[in-house]
Amino acid sequence: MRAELVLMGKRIDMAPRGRRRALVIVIYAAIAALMTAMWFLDHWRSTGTYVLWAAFLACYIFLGGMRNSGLVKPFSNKPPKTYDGPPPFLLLQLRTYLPIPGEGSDYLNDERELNQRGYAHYKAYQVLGLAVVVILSVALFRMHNPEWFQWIPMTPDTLYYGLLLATLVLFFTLPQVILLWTEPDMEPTVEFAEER
Amino acid sequence: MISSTRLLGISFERRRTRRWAVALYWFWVLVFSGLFLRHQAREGLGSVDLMLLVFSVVNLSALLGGVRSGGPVKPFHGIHWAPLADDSDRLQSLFRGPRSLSIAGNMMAPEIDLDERDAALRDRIHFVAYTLCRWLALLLFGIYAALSIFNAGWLVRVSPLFFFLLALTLWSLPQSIILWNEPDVVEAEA
Repeated sequence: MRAELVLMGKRIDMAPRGRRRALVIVIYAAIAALMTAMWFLDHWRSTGTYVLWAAFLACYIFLGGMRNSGLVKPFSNKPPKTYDGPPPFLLLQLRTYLPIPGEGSDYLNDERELNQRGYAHYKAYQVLGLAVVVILSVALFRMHNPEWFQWIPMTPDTLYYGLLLATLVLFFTLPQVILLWTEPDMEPTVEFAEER
Repeated sequence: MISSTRLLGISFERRRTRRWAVALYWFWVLVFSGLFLRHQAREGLGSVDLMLLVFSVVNLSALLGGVRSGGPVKPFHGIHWAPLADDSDRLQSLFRGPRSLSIAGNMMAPEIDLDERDAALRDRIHFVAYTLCRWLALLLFGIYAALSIFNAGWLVRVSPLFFFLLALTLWSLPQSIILWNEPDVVEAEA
């Protein structure tokens, strides 16, 4: 896991656990707000996928885990793909941290990190397993006794669509979030250590 | 990671047996899902169907172990209750002899705590299963979105099946991968 985040050219010290937890809360609050806004806009009919893109973006810039960017190193433990073209426009505009492909082994997880990765996925798996069973029960009971759910101002298909969307967001973010939330305070990078 | 407990008289120490069991399990899951969809499309969902479904999700995956003790895979998280374990003393006390006071004790599977290697394997397999389930969830979401465009009337009927498939896969995939990949127990010990 990396101890700093670079955004808009500014380096942010993420070694203290409190900052990482605050980041997680802000990200989930933003996604929840976006989902609510999209619901009022068109009941997620065409805007539902924006929520997914927001989750991808959060992983890409802040959380990591998928690509060689963000706080958590890529889970795949494979070297980043090399390409000759210019860096992506989004990364240029946001001036985020983008390690140069082939330089160093920044993407590699050591044995401890691999164990943590596995354990985080195990925990996330349990949470999602239970969540999906709860959702399934809601779907079945709604089908069996529709009158019980009349207080929910949504049609069944919209409700299931929203639940599936939320499940997917959790699928893409939960292991990284567990890692960021549970990792104790880290050693700051040299620059931040000198500042302290 | 493979328990030495015999399930319904069958030993799962040989990989070949385990692979047959996994194939049979998933075949049954597919058949069950198909029947569910067909029945639901024609007649809706009754109380008995509802109970059967919840029962299936909770108990079907437990046949492989992992989520509960007594199956071929050791329980992932210190669950010691083993109702399906092949325990002749328990059967005898249940059906032939007088009931023993220690019957509850007999239902506890022995030697099921995971050692360090087992725990590492469990976590690694969950990483693989998580990745696969994520793709499955994405695929289901895509199908759901497509259906909402082309045939929205079907959504209300089909969507519980989506969650049913996802739930059953989530609850069964790690055990299936372990059973499929672990070598024969004798070979591994040698």
